[in-house]
Amino acid sequence: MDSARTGGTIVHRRDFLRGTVGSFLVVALELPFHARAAPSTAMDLESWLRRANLDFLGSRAMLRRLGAAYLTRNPRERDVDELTVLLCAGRSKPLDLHLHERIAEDWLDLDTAVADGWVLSRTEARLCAVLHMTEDLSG
Amino acid sequence: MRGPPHDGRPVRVIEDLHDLPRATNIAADVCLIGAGAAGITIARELAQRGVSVCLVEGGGMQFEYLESQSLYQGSNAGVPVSFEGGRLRFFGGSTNHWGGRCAPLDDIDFRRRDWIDHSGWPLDRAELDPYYRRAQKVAGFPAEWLSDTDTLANLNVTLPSLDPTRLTPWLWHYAPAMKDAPTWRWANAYGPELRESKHVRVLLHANFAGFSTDKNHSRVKTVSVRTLSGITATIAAEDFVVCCGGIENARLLLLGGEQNNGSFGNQNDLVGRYLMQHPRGPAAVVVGQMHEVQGQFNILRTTDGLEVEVGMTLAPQLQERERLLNCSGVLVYQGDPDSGIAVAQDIWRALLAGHWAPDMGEKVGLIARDFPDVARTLSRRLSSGRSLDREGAAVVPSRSATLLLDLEQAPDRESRISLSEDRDALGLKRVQADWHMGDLERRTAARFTGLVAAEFARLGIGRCRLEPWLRDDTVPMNNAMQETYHYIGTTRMADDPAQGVVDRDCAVHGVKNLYVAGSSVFPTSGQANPTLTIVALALRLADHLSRGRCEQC
Repeated sequence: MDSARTGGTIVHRRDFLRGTVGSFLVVALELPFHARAAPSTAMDLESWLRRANLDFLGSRAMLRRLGAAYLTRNPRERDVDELTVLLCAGRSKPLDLHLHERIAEDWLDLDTAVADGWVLSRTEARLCAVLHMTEDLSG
Repeated sequence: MRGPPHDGRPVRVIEDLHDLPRATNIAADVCLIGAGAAGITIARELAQRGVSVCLVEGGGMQFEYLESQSLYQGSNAGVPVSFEGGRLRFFGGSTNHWGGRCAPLDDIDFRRRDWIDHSGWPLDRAELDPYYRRAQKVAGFPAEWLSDTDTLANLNVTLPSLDPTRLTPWLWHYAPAMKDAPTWRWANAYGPELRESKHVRVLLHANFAGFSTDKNHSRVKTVSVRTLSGITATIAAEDFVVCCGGIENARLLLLGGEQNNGSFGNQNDLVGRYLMQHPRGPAAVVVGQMHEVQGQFNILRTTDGLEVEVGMTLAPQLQERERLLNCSGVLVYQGDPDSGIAVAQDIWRALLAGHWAPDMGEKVGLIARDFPDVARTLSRRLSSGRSLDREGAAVVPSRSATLLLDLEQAPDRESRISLSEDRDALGLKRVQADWHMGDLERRTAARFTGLVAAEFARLGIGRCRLEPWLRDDTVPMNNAMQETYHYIGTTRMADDPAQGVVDRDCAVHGVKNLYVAGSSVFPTSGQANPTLTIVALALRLADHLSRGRCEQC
């Protein structure tokens, strides 16, 4: 799949993958196709989430647990491709900036999710879900 | 009538019914039943204007369990109410364990809100404002409060930029400590004044025994009181005020109705109904960079040495837009036991106890690490005269805090006080409470907490983890939210007798000279502690009762 349509916006996976956050999301979100590459690259996603104010949560296991909890409440998002589309919808900026802005907008719009009791922005919760699923895929 | 309440004998103005002859008859202009915040406030006001008052109190000057407090026993059918723990039955009433937390009700609390059945007071906040100002003085404040903005400036606090359409700052003013009490006590503050007053006669151990009325039950003629040992007295007055707290006020009217074969304000089956409190409890744990917020949302000290607690409340426009109740929250800090301040406290306490604290080397290292904080706290303590060992977790740097909520309740007809078949030592029926918390309370708490979580995350303050009862609707709310001993609404105020027990002047509908004072008359509770409003309404009622009795009133 090269692209996905969401809300009238074409998101080109290749374009998304050229995001400037670094390799972590590139590979993490490519994992359906590169499942074996997960352990080291998924750690990068964890690093990004930690920098994005989730550092208090302490561990990758915790982030994964939040992702799993989010998916339990939102089972229709249990698909990395689908989440990729959702996370990148409307992106016109470098990925890092895009995600930061999405998180800030989530708080303003009160678009939040509760995972294991923690109140997360929708975007944060989806990123945790990606982390959870990609590590699952890595076996 | 002017001058002291009389029975033809010389009187000491605070006396014990045990010391009077049996079947004493007393006459006064006004008889007040219950010597708590409302009763003492009204007594002072009337006495200062030369109106004669007989103030009857079921207890003595001190706590006595068997002689008095045990008469407060009752039974529960709903969420438990602590009949004995929540109230005190002696001179000063429940002000004897008052925490001193004061705030007026908000404008919106008085309004008819179409999303809350039975909401709306027959008066508005502006009508109470002058009385709130007088109430501050009665509650011990040496000067009128500054505006919130000026108070925050006085505290040298700049709050984070919360979205004002969601959350607004809320300030609690703590009544000052007294020389002999940790906060303001009506008995300590005003007992001597009443003792000296020639217009007030206080009768202790004078338990309510019954009302006598005219043949239509539309006017009270006398109230009878008695000790547990059977000594009785009868008080005749032109007006009577029941001011025994939110549970007993309803009980006395219900008992009065039974004794007089009349409705006694209960012609529409409203007495005792709509029991509300301010459920209080933890909603979330906040984790993050608490150092800065600890200097903002906390109990802080003004330059006058008074304490002000800074919290948040749900913005009125959001309450309206989302059809919610009122709600406020404060942060309670756990304190980091490894912080320099906590360690300094350990060392100081050990020194006070006459020994060295263990692991001194390590402790000194932790103090050195946090030296700026320790120095700042010590400096503040030295300037305030408070000992370092008396500081609680509020000043110890914390990495987490608990968000503690105070909730308004929606009036619910089925949440109520009624008479049980059990009888007390005086042969009077005890009370049964069936207190409820409803879905709107839960929805309000969830929304408020979600807003705090979003705003704190947006501003980089910290992140919130909800308590179980806010994650899962099947977890009972009362697992976390507890009663606050604020018994509200059981003799609610309304202009229409079909909607309320008392009118806007706190007069019982259908009984010409019987009034009720206290939080039982609040038609809705707001989220603010009730004492300041109780006192404001008591002052207003005193003005009403003075009219026509006093030339200058």
